[in-house]
Amino acid sequence: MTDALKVSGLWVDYRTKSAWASAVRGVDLTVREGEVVGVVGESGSGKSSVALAIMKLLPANAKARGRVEVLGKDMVGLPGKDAHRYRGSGMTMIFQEPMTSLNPVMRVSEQLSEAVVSRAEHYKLEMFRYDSVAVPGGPDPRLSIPQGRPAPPPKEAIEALHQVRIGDPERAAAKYPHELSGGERQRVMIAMSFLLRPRVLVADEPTTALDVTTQAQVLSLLLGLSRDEGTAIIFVSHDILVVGQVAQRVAVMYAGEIVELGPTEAVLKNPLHPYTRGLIASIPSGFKGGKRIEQIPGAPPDIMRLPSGCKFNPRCKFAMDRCRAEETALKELEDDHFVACHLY
Amino acid sequence: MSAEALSVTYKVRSGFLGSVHREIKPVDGVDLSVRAGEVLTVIGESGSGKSTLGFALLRLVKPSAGRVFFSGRDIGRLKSSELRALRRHMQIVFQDPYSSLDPRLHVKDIVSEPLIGSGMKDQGEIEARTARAISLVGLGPSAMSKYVHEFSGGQRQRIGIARAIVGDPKFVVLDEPTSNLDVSIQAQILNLLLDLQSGSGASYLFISHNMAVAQYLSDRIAVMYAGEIVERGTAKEVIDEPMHPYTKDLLSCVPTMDISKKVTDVKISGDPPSFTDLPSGCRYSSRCKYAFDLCREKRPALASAGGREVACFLYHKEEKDPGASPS
Repeated sequence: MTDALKVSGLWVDYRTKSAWASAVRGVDLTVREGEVVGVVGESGSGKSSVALAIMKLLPANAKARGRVEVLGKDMVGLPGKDAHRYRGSGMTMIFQEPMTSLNPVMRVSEQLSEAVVSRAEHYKLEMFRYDSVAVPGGPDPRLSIPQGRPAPPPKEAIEALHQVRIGDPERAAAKYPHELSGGERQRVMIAMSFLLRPRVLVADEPTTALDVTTQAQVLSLLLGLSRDEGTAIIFVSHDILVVGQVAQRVAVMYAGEIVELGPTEAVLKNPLHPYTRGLIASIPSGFKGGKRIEQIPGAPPDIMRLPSGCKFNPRCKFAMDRCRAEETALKELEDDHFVACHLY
Repeated sequence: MSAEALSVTYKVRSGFLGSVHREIKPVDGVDLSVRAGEVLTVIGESGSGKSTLGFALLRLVKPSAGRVFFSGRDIGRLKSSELRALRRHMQIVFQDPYSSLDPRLHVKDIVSEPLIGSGMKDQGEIEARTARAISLVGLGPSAMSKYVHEFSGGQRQRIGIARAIVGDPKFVVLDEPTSNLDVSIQAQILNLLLDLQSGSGASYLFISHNMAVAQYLSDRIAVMYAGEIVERGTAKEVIDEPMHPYTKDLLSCVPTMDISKKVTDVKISGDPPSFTDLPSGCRYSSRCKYAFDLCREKRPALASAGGREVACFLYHKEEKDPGASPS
């Protein structure tokens, strides 16, 4: 399988009042076609900055360095005005709060139609040509954009809503986003991804705002997208158990760096980095009066005041002199299982 | 703390310029008792009415029907001055430590407020109790004269907890106190809550959507769906051998360390019902794979079955309409 997404030596710096601060510090990560890779970290770990850098959607006060290749094309060096050509059918993103990514004054059907049009536009770009997928039939798909009064949504949009198991697709298509529940909105976003058939999908905490029953439905839809369409998915979350449900590989981020990377089962069952171990040990398990959950002392560091050496050393119970003096680098310890820790 | 047939009704307006008036009942006829020294968790999804239930028990919202007893007194019949004096004994920790603490007050003023509100005058005692509460939640004495914005989310939640425990409450409602926190910080707060509870012997009503957290913290669990309690039992009964179809479905959707158990294989359909459009009969009947005719006609009552209480016709055969056949 080929690499759909290749991130190498990625740094993301934010300009603050007094200085530049690095939220992402040298991240390397590849996602193959049809693969789901999880990125786990707590708030401030830089996981969302990685997601935004891939999409070239970083805010104006941020700067990316390094390389982010989406289907072989470097996004970091790409002029901002050209990036939109790759968003859509090339790469697309699902955010935590779907209300902020849906247009509040457009009906669901209109927004889904836009996706159909946008996909058709992308077929004109050589790099997004799919030989196996026919360009939607009929005349110029742009004609299906409803002008003024809502026109009946294209069949494909209704089918996509049906695919994401929205109860009454015709009724939902005629609604505005605020008239839908949170779970329905997130499913509309995924329906849009189905229509776009993106090669790379960046999902940033897509189920965090949802209830567990809805979360299970959304996770299964995302898995379907990667399995059936070969979409490469990068799944960003604070919840390692949710990531464990969908990802083949997991990257654990701490203070802007990947500290552990490996097959999901290996990382969950045999975590190597003390931070990953602490993260897993702090998940509540068992009944009251049973084993106490372990807690990682302290809090993640402020990126303006990072400790020297390993960034986890002030909270690590195994910290040695070397940890305080020397930076760490990812090392392959087992098959495909990497860790950045001086213990190994 | 106990409640009998407690209901809360909200009026909602919809339609053109709010021309349509409707009533919704996020809490509908709930009987509940929290025993002395126990942690009872009310678990439910968003919109199940679990937070409203917590507010109604503390009379932060006025129930539309039913009665609430605290230490044997019907708090609905108390004068507002009597209720205010009682407040420090029944406290709440809110979900969002950012919006529930006054940004203009020093931490010591936030924490001591329940004491002053309940009429305590002795400055020395107020200060001593405040200092003790702040140290109990693991903050240093320097925190006293700081403002809330100088603290991280986890520390803010500690301040919220200090405010709740300062008056040695007998009953505390914890409304999803860790759902905005990172996992490593959540672990610290959960352990702190367990220590405080076992140290004080107070009763906690814990409101949560997180099954793992509920399991770790509770003696008993009540599962809430669309304004009703559908199952209630010890934490072990409810989690290890769930009986109500909703509890079963809910548990099967919770990701665990066992990644061979895929939540993505779970076939649960639809969303929880809206309070303006509740299904007739059992409120879970619209999503339940076991639903039969009776479930759509009659509301099942919470009744004992298998050592706990379940509101489901699958377990109350004697109530079954002889004409109805399970499908």
